[in-house]
Amino acid sequence: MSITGERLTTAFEQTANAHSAETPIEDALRQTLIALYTQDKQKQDAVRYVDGGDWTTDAVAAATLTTTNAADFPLWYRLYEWLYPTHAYDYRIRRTVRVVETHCAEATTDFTPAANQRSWVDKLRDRLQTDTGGDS
Amino acid sequence: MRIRRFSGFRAYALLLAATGVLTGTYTLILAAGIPLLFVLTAAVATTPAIDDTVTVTRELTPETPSPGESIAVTLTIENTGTSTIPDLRVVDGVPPEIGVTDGSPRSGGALRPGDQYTVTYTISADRGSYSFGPVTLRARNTNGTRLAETTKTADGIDRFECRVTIEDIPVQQTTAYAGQLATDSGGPGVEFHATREYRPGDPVKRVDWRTYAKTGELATIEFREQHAAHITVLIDSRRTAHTAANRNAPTGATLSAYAATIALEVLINEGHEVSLGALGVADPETDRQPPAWAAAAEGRSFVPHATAICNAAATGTTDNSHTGFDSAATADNTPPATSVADGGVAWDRTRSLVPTGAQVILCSPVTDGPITDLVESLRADGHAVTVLSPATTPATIGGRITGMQRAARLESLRLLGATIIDWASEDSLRDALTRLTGMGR
Repeated sequence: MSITGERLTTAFEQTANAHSAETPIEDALRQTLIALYTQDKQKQDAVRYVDGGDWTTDAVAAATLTTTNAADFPLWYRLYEWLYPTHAYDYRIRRTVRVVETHCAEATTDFTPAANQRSWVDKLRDRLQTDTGGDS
Repeated sequence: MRIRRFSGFRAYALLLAATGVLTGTYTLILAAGIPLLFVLTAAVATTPAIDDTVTVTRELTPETPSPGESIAVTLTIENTGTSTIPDLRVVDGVPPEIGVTDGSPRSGGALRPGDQYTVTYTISADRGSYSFGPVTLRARNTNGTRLAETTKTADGIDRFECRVTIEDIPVQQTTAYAGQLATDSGGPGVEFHATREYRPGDPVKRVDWRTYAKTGELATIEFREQHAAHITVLIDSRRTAHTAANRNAPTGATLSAYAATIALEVLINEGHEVSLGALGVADPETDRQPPAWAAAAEGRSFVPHATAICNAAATGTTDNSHTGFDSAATADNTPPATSVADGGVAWDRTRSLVPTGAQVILCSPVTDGPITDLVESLRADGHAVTVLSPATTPATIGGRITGMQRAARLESLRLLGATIIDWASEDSLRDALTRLTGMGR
């Protein structure tokens, strides 16, 4: 008996040397997203849509799932990855999974995203944006 | 058992007393009495008696759980003795094969004579029989210098069987599978057929009151009778379906087999013509290649044959169609090169076995692409398809991604016109099957 998704979970956990290379997780997420968009688009269009990065406003998620140069990681993320490559990989995958889950919940009938907390970076950024907006 | 807790205090007492004598300080001599008091208390302390003065009772809710169902275990510990047990620690003997999903089987506290306290925790088990081990009790006296340890067999339930019982089946309900084929004979039904002369005993609701108002004569409305169509129940027990949310949870194939077992019982009890197929399983009676098949035409031997197939589907797979592929990889939505999971090519054998016009109930965790191909083929053949899909996705990164892949597949099945019953892990089997049997009304 195997655990559902065990291969992907193992690949995710073995991130020590994987942060610079594409792991099966990116491909699985990309194929899932394409499958979701294939419901109301032609497959080629769905692939182009995901590659173009227009499917989300989240630059990290868009850059994670594209296979072209149409979407790139933001500067702050590149700096973060340079400083802490393993942490950055972990953050990038978790963030992308959350974004794809949100899209999956919108595109399907019964799917409910796993109860997860927003990452502390997101919370901090929201807080900073709120504070900045309040002052101006 | 004696614990040498205050043995160091003797040295303190001696040191203080000696210093007091040498220096002629009475205060130090008196101070030596304090550690000496601890030493004396430890020396005269008695070991708490727990062998015959503590009773343990175990209760399970429910007592006969279904696979994967949460089982609440309540352990009641009572002090039947005459003295207080200042510190009693309890560890229940949870069966080693299963895991605790909530709470802890360990607890502790003081227990006065006649008092009791309860330990509550939740376990979850796959199919099978499980036995609890003895409860370990450990008691200390007030100052912790005496330790008593013993094991006791709890009163009440010490073993349980995780299975599906007939009581789990919502048999009081009438299924929605009334059939597709209208007949020319009149009787109860929904579509008007004719009116006839009233006969005593006819139901009042079928009296044609309009004719009575016009002519003053009672007439009875006859509706077009509908006969139940053939229903085929399919269990997905291919290799990709044998994945679970965790090591203690039942696999998707096991859950599918149990759901199918219950659906079969309900449908047979209601007089429907039913056949059963198990994808990825060789026939346990004839060793014929997958899918194992019990046809309605088998008559009396259908039920034992179907039961054997359900058991085989719940326990394992003989599906070798994915040889050369990593089973975990296919569970993660890497489809095999060809859809040969039924022993034929592109589900041809399964399609040929499903009777013409039959409605299909497919019990599958929908863990890969080929199962959607099967539903598409069945829909193309004109079969109404209902998919009862147990969710077996954990909250890990891989589980979450696989859960999304499953959701996308279920959505594509909806678009194919199949009715989807998503059996979420928190739903009970009864709830899921109530939705299955009550569907469409």
